[in-house]
Amino acid sequence: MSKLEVSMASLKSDIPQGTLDLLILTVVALGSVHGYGIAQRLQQISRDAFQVHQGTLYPALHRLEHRGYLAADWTLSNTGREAKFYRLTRKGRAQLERETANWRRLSEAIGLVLRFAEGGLP
Amino acid sequence: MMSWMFRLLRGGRLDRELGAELRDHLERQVADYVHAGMSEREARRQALLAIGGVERVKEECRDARGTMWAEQIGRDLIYGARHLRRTPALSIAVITTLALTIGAGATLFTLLNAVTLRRLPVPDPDRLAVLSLTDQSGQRQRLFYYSTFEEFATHQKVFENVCAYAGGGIFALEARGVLADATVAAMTPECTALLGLRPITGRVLGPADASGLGEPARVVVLGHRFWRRAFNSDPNAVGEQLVVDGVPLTIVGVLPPDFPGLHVDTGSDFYIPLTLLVRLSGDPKRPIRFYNIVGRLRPGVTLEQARAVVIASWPALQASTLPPGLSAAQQDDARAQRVQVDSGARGFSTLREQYSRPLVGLVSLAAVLLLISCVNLSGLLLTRAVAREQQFAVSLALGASRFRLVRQLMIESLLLSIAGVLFAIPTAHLACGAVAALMWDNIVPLAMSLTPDVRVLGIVGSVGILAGIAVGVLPAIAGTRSNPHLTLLRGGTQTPSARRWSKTFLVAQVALSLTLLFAAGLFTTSLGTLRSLDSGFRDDGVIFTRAWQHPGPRRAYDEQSYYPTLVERLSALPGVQSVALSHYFPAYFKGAPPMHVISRTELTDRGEVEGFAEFISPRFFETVGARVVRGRDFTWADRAGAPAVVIINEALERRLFPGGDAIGRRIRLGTDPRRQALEIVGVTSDITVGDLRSPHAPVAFRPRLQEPQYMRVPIVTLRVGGDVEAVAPAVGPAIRSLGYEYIRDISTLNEQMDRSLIQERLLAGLSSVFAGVALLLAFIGVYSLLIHAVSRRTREVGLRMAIGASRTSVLRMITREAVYLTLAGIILGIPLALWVGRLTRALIFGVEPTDPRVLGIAVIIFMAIGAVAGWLPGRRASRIDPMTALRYE
Repeated sequence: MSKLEVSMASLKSDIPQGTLDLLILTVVALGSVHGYGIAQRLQQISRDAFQVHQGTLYPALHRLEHRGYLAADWTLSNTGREAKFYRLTRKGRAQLERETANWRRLSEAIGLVLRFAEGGLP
Repeated sequence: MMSWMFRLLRGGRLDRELGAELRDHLERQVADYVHAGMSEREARRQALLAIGGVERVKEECRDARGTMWAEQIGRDLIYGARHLRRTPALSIAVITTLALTIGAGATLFTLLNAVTLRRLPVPDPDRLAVLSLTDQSGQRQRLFYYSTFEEFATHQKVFENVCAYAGGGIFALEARGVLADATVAAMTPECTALLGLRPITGRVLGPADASGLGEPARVVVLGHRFWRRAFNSDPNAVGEQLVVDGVPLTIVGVLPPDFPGLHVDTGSDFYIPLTLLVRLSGDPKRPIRFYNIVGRLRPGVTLEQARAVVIASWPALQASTLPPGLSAAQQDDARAQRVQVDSGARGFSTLREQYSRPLVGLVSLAAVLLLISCVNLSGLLLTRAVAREQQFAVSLALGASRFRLVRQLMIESLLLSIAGVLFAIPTAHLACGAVAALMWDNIVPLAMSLTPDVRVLGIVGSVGILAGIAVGVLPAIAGTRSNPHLTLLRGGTQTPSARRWSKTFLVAQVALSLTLLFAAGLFTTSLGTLRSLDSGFRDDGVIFTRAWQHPGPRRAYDEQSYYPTLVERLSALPGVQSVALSHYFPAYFKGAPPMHVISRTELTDRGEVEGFAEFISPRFFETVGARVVRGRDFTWADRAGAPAVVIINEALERRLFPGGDAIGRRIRLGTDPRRQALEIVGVTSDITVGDLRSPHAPVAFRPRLQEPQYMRVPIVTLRVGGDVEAVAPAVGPAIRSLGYEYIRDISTLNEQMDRSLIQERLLAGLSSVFAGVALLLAFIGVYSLLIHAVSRRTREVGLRMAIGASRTSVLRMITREAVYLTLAGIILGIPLALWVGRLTRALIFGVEPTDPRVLGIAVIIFMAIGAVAGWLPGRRASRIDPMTALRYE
């Protein structure tokens, strides 16, 4: 690894614990997509702030599939190979809404606390 | 549940799909990198780096699917089995050790379970209570009078219902013309409902068969075992006649196979109304008496409450219900009696009374042995785990988790212990039969089932699995602790921590084994002491048997002429030197005959001695090898009508007549009015009466023909000049030829002595076997630890020798390590052994539980074992050729 790559890597943060599932569901909600696509999409949307390791992505995908939030089909992709495309199930959509609401509440609450700590009252 | 099984089945396809998915990911990444301007080669390298270990990702995905553990355990099992097959010697050694030690424990536990834990197969056995009477001292059993029982049954409030039960006696029966010995149980009709008895054919005893003291119906219900034995399970037996002691009874039903009667040792072969039993065996003029009252506790009443109520109300009840016509002495005895209320859940068992304590002791020793073997095997497996450290290091480096390695090792040790248990259970079953045959000495076969039941299988199984875990856990943890980098670099030398564990195990093993050896030493010494006690008679060349009466009318004979003829007939047999009759001797080795108060007739207020009474024929002392030291022996002239005479032993003379002037004086023997002024005609040397442990107990001997109650069913003892085996077969026909009596079995006095010491022999024998196994394991433990050390230190030893160490000093160095290890174990073991010794106090005789000699011998044996186990590897080390050794690596 070159020096540059090392410093780049250290700038990227790991996805916070427990939010990967939410992010994956959000990405998949945009449309049927394969694993590599999800990783790319996450990186792009977060403007490269998130580094998604395959070592965490695929187990998470399989876990979500196991729980019935995601379904998968093997479809011929534009590369000419069969690829596994994930899509959101109804159960997954419900879970996504729940999680999103949760996250909103949580981040608002954290925002409040932070602002309060900085001295400003809302 | 279904879904993971389904996934497990199609796990192969899922795995392939996962592979394809990750490959797809990789290809896309490479394509993107190439697109961004990298070379194909560099792009592939970067992509692989980014993805991390492909296998690891796969594994985590499988984990996420949730089927992981089942798949892996399946794989671990196969892998484990394969691995165990690769080291067959070690695997066989481990399985054998576990099979033997678990088997030993299982054998003893099966016995303990059968003898002391198993409940009666009746509804709700825990609600059963048994009442029994003892004399004032609580030592000897007394009988309930029927009148007392009736009053008790009417007025008691703590039991739902009560019934009277007696049994255990052996009768001569005639079933379809064949003579058989069978055990009786007699009961009042209430017992049927109380015990929940249901017939498999015919009916059970009911109120119509006996009401109160009225004339009982002549009916009998068969136990299943006897029905099978005597009637070949023929349902038509119901309605047939069974001749019990000469009296024909009608068979009305058969009980199911699982109900053995309350006397669980012998089982009961036939059941009759209680009042019928008295007609058969007792004196019809005497009040009806029986052994036990059985009651079923009222709901909400505990055994303790029932006991308190019964004991409190008993004296008044007993005093107001004594039957008329009792002598003053009998009344006094009855008033002093004490009632006991015990749980009836397990029935009556002499085996239980005799063997619970020894069996608990032996089960504990077996548990110690199992612990020792676990420690030993743990050490062995640790060596193996360490030998595989390289392999583990590679696995760890490749991304296997340590948890998986530990699990792999645990599965291997569990496989070993399960194999051990599978061998142990049949072993235990066989051994159990053999040990029970030793313990059970009776003409009636043991009725108890010794087949391991659910409880035994459950406990043995879980002990086995625990043993597997115990054996495996430390090797698994210590063996996989290492840092893979270091291990790979070091190239397979043992880690210091594993070696420290090995040594700790060994010290613990020696300490525990020393304890076992010490206990075995105590039991063996105790047995030796008992064997060397001077019993007062000469055992060799003496055989004995009991003459039983033929049932029925053939019972009418005149004892006063019959017995002299019997003795004469037997004395005439070739090879027989002398013949004597007695009542207790030598059967009483196994239990004490009743004690009597013996006193001098002319003294009313002092000089009372507790002693035994024995009823003998002339030439008894000569036959058993004792001598008459003063006065004369009995003759056949000491018979009914002649002056009442007695012979006392020296122990009794010392107590009653310290001046040695006993001959011609008179004594009282008990309270029987016929024995209040017995003239002493002889004094004899002491012989063991009652228990072998009390060789000098006072005894008074009475001529049989002056004792109406003790004239019949004598024990016949013969002193034989030459070969006992040649004489024994002639005894039975000679007795039978007179037409009144027959014998069931015959044995030598030596055999009887062995039988009376069976408890001690079991303890000494089994504990010695255990100690032997423990010694062997300790030897193997020390030896294998050092032989490994030597092979590991070949270079070091070679170097030492190259710079001038002598072979002797090398030998000494290795041996010293063994001796130090053993010493450490011994030092830890001594307090443990002394503590265990204290627990054995009740089981040993003539040796202190802290006996320094026994402990000293145990320590010396261990030092010797340690030295030899160290010397052998030491010798191998001293033979190392320095040049070869230095080239070794």
